[in-house]
Amino acid sequence: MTSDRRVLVVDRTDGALAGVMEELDLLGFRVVWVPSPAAALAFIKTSPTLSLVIVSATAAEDGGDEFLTEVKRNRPDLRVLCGTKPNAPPSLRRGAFPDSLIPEPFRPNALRTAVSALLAEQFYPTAIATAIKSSALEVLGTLGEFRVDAGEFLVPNQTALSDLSAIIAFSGEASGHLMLSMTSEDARSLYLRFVPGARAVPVDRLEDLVGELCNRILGRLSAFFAQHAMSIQQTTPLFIRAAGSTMRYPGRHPSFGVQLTRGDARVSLEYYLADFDRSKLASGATKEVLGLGEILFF
Amino acid sequence: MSWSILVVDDSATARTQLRATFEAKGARVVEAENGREGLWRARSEKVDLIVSDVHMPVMDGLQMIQELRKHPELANTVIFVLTSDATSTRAAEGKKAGANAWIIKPIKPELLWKAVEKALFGRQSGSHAKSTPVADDAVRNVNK
Repeated sequence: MTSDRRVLVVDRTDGALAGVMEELDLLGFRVVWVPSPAAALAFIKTSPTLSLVIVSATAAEDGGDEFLTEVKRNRPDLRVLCGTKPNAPPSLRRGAFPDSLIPEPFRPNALRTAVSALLAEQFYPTAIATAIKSSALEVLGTLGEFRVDAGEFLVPNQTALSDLSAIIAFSGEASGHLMLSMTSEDARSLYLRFVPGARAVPVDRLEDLVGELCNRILGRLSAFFAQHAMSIQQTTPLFIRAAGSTMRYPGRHPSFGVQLTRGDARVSLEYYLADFDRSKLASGATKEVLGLGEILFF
Repeated sequence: MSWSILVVDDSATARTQLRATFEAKGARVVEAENGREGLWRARSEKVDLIVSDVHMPVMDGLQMIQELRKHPELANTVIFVLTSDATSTRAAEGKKAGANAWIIKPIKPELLWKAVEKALFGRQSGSHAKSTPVADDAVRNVNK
């Protein structure tokens, strides 16, 4: 992946947005601070691959409106997020709008959600995000009516680990990993759909089910990559029993977490793409793959 | 009719599900959890059909099939690959290794049974059918 992961924070006082900068750092961004919109404009002109600009409500008081106009004129692709305060200058609400407005002080969840919405396409193009969700729904759909809840970038202390998790790494012309996680209770419920009438189901077997589902979802994702002329090789699942624990991949891009639900049952899917060829995605699906349940006799 | 099947899959859940499917049809079911064990089981047990996954530790399913086909007594044993790998490239590798069918899981038990009937009991064109779906076009993707 070639996307630049720099974020420019614009605030009068270095340190005022320390919490925001720390949060962005956890998400895998390199954070640069400048004290004013004017300095930000100068920086933007020399940094063509910048991902995002965050402007505090205080900094926006120093010509925020003109700043936004200039940014949108020169770099329409650059995402801008502005903080707001109850007494924010009305100018911010006229003319050039930021891509996102969130109230200050920034709360981590609100910031993460806003950053996810603004930058998801850069890390995980819509075609891939849709393929991953469709793959999960296709496989889990054989066990009941699941639906996808909103997803978000995950920071290390918010990985999707639950009671039982399985992670499968893949490499080749696209690389990364897929992790599936759920509670023991939800795994037991799904297991009974796999093997009706099973009585005492040992935890090893529940864990095995999580791995098998993860494998099947990755199988569909592999088919998606194959359709776009990208071949991947996958490993066998690794299992993690880690309720309340966290995982961390130093130096990684942010992973993305998706929740799938069926009634009270909840399945967490976390995916991480380290590398793939965007140009092949743009060319559209070119190869045929087999569907679930399809049989090819030789 | 007495018949037997070897199920090779590293997932105990998948093996259990297949065991239930085939025992309900009167089969004797033997299990193996990787290709190497599958190889050993196939040579030590006389089975009519082998259903194998692809991605497994120790030895994968395609390696196992290649090895099995080297043994004259197993040259004609019907082998189904049952996998989540849906790429045509891998299916072609399966054919080259010596598999008789490539099946994308999950599959409904009744459809899998139809395929077994066709391959073992000659309900259609026998165990070495040409590259067509087991029944008709309606069979394709019906598990969705």
